[in-house]
Amino acid sequence: MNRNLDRTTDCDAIVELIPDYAFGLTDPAETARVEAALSACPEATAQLIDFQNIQNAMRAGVAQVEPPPRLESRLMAATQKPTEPRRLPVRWA
Amino acid sequence: MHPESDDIYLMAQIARQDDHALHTLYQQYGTAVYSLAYRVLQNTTLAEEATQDTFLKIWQQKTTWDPAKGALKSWLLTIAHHTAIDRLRREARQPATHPEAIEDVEAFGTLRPETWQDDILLRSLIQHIPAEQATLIELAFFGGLSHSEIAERTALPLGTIKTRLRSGLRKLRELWLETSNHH
Repeated sequence: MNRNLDRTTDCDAIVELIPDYAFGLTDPAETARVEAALSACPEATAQLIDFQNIQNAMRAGVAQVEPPPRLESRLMAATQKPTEPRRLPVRWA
Repeated sequence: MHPESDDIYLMAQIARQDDHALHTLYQQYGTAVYSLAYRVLQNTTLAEEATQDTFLKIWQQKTTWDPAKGALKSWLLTIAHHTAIDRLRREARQPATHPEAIEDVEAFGTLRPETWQDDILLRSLIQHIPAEQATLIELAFFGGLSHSEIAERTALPLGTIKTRLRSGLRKLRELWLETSNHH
């Protein structure tokens, strides 16, 4: 059996899955299949990068809406809160 | 200084818990993050919370930016997107949390191709994609829905959803490449 032919056929199948994979639409088995084969399939990797660039542009391209001014002060106030509650040592009298 | 060097310095300062640096990050990207959260959640209260959660994840170093993997803004908006989608899913499961949000979140599920008009990139590309495919891309990307959830929402067969969505995404990539080659 021609090993290169196998690899080409498998890469074709992976390329087929790339649009779904890029948009989080593959099931766990398909996701594992794509991730195992990506490094050996340059075309699949190139298409995935294209889709990631498209997604970046879609996220950045939404209509811009100014957040309410209170959000800035609320965020900065939230950074002052400790992430873990402080536990005082128990002292026995 | 190179803009990327500025970003690297800013993120290093945030890692040292410098709240002035977080404030600078918010001033630079707060509107972009809030706008994306609002696009996904279609509700001001939820978008504010998702925006705050996004910046707090960065402040608490729950995830860190690798400059080798892409621009700071893209990384930040990816976190914002995932945060907003998680919030949308939680609201769908527990719609009583924000009563005024119920109507908005449910309304998002209806097919509203006109919302594409808000998007700079898609405004130019979407005219070349069949409307039924564009709507499915919107439901998957901004609505965070799976194939089967879209099938349920649109009352279309699962196989039709898969075929149309994949075809729409391929078409979107072709158009994207054509647009990129022209610039």
